[in-house]
Amino acid sequence: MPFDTAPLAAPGERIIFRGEFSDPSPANYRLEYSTTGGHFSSATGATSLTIAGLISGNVDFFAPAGWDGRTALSVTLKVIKISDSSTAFTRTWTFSLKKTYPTSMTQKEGTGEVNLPGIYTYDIGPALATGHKPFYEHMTILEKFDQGSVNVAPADIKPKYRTDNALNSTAAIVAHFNLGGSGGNGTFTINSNDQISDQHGGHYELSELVSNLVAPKQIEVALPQTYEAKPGTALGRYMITRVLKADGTTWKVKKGPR
Amino acid sequence: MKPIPDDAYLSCRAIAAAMGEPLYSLRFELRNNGPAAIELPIYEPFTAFSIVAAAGGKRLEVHQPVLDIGVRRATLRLEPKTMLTLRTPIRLQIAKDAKPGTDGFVWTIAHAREGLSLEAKLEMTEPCIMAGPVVFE
Repeated sequence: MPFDTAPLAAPGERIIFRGEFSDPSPANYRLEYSTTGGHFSSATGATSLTIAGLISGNVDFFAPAGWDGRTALSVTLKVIKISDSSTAFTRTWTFSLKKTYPTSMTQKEGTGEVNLPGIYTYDIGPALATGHKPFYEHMTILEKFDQGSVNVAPADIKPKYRTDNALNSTAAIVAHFNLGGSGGNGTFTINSNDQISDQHGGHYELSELVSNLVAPKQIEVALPQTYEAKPGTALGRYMITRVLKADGTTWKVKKGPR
Repeated sequence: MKPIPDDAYLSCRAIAAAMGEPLYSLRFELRNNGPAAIELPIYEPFTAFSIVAAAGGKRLEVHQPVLDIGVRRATLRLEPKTMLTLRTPIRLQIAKDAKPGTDGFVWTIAHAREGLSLEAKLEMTEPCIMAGPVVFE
C-alpha cells in the first residue's frame, strides 16, 4: 500500500506505506525502501529504510515541503533475500503533484449499527466543471485518529476493581483498557470512480471490563477519524463507534459524520 | 458481473503455514469445479473470513483486535477447472499462553497447536459462503 502506484500528492504531505509478504522463513528476508526526492520517517529523514523480515508496519514517507512537481518523486520497495542479496520483489510508486484538492466526501452507507467488519465507501467531490468523473483519481488521502473515548464512568465499575486499578475517570478507564485508538493510520488513493473505501473490523478486549461492571450495559468505544487530502485541512470528520451489546459478547460497529 | 453459479461448483481449502512460531500465515485455495468461469467480488486486502477454533469439544475465543484499514474492490475470476490462491495479511498467533495484542493483523488463539482444530468461513458476497477446516502445513 498505497494501492495506486501513480499517486498524486501534495508538497509536504505524509504518505503511509505498508508492505507485507509471507514466507515460511521470514527472517531470511529484509524489506528495503528507497526514495528519489523524498524522506522517510520525518520531513528531513533518511532516503532509504531497511526493515528486517517481511512485514513493514506503517512507514511514513514525506514529500518535500517545496515540491512543485517538476522534480522526480518516487518510492521503491524491494524484498531482498539475505542469503544471496537477490531481489524477490520490486514495486515503485511514482508521484505527481496534486493540482487541485477535493473538498467534500459523502458516506454512501447509513450510520446505523452493522456487523463487524463494517465497510464504508465515500464519494469524493465536488464534481468539477471540467466534464465527468474521475476528477480526483490517484489523489492520496491521509487518515488520522484522535483520542478514543468510552461511555463507561467510574461509577459503572465494581468498587474493588475500580479502587485497585485507580479508575477514577473516564480517561483512566480508556488508558487501562487500551481504548485510546487503533494506531492504524493509513493513506488511501482515490479510485477511478472518485471513491475510497474504509473497513473497520475487530474489536477491543473488554472481557475484564464486562466482568467488573456493576450491572450489564451496552459499551460504546468511539474513535474520531479525520481524512485529509490537503495537509492540515480536514476533508471529512467521522466517528467510528464499536458497540459491545449488554450481553457482553455481541459486537457491532457504526460510523457517521461528527 | 456474471452471476455466481451454484456453490457446488466452488470448493475452498484454507491453509495455515508456520512463519516462525507462534505465528501462522493463512491462504485460501479456491477451486472452480464447474463448466463456466466464476467471478467473485472481494475487497483487498482480503480479510473477509472468520475462524472458529475448538479443542476438546469446547469452542475457543479467537481474539481479533481492532483493525481500521483502507480497502479496494476487486474481482477474482476463476476459469473452469482452475484453482486460485487468495492470500490474507491476517496472521494467526497460536500458543497456549498467547496474549491478545493490539496489532489488528494478528488474531490470537490461546491454545497449543496440538489438539486445536480450526474452521475457516469465507464471508464473501452471498451466496458465495464457504466453510472448511484449516489445514496446517
